[in-house]
Amino acid sequence: MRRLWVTTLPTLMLLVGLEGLKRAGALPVFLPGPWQVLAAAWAHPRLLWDNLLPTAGTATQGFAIAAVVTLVAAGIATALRPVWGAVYGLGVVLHAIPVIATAPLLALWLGTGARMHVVIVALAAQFPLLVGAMQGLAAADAQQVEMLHCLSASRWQMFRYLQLPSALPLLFAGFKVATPLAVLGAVTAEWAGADRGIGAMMLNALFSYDIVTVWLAVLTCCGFAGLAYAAWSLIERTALRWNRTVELPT
Amino acid sequence: MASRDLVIDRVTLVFHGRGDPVIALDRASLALPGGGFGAIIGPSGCGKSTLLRLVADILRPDAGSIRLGGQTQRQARQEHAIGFVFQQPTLLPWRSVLQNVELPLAIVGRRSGREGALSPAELIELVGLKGFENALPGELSGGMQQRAAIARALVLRPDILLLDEPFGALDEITRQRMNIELLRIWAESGTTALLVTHSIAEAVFMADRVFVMSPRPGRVSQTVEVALPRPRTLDMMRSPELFASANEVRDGLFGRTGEESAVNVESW
Repeated sequence: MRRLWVTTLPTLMLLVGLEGLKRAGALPVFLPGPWQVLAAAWAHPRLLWDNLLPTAGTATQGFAIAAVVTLVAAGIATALRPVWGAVYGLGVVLHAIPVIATAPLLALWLGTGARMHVVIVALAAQFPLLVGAMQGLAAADAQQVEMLHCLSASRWQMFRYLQLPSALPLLFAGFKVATPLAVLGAVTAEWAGADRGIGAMMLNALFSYDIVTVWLAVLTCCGFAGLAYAAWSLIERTALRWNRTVELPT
Repeated sequence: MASRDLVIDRVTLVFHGRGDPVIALDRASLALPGGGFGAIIGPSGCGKSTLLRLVADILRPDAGSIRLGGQTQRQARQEHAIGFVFQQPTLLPWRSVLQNVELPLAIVGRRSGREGALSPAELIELVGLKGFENALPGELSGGMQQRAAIARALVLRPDILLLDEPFGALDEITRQRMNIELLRIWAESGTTALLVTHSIAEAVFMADRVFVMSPRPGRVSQTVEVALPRPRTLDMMRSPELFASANEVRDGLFGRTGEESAVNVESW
């Protein structure tokens, strides 16, 4: 409970401070007060909900695909050492290509439908997932490897009993970094063409100079990514009870 | 009572690092009868852990042969006849004590279960961890973790138990107690045991046969028979037989002949 306060109190204080500044007229026109944004959300609940759902769905699907693909790639790279560098290199190159530039190209290639959105999310989120999976699968303790070798464990048993559990702390680190990137990727994808979604809502509001709605979209993005991050942290704390480095002082 | 005799015959191992090749072991030989307790002693870097790793088929020798009950080390390992206890407990931190002890059974599976394997629950009781079955390794002391590791090494009822300074990280008092327990467990299991240590007192107290190793290149320079009866008790730590064997080991380690050492002891 105390930890909850420690994390939420600074945010609350920031919001209250912003509201005070806005009321005092110290904020420029393009920065609405938190209360205005909240009131807008309250006034059009359907608007928010109808746009959040497709974005959340796209982000989740793209994230899941990226997680599976990178884990399989990392598994192959771990089993087949010569391709290790190539897999890493491919991840870096894909990560270095700016999504904002490729999104219109992908829209031409795949159409502006859900498929394009999911691909962009997967591309945006893949690198931390890949790094987490590759470093994680390589993190198994050398003496534990010898121990399982003494027991004549098969490759699969080595993976299942040692490498995969050893990888979990780094896999979770990758998940946590990739989560906001997936949300960002979904919004970027929607900019390239979508009728609904937080990205579409943001773009429409921008074109109609509806600054409050723009901020509402921005804050919804932050809130959703933050919630997803918190969910990962919770799962991590439950799943990695054995890993003390995860435990934060309370 | 399953046990195998161990014969290491002129085993050589060369490490090819970045610089010049290093001869880790040069024609090292030793023989240990089935059911016996052997100890390998020597200064740091003499290759005693390396020799143990060769027996466990973790490393491959460049020359020479190793026979465990007439089989090669690879065959013995594949038959799950070798139990290994590392310097560190090497328990899987996400598995409970019971799950760690059960791990070898999970790996062997039902297809080739070894005859007469002790139940994990019995072994946990034997090593004195009853009541801690569901604890995670991180919740136990170093000594308790190492006991769990010994239980794990014994769960497939190995014919030979290899111990690489298993209590090196423990304090003297705990170590003494663990050694007595280890001897009791060894006697009950009936396995052949080979212990690597750098304590003269420990080697002589535990073993029937002490193999003294010398460094650069690593080789077995002397074998000392310990004439103490079993079971060993703490009182024997003060017996003249133990002192005689310990002195013999000490002479082997410091490269003196019997006569020279006698003179030195008197002048002390």
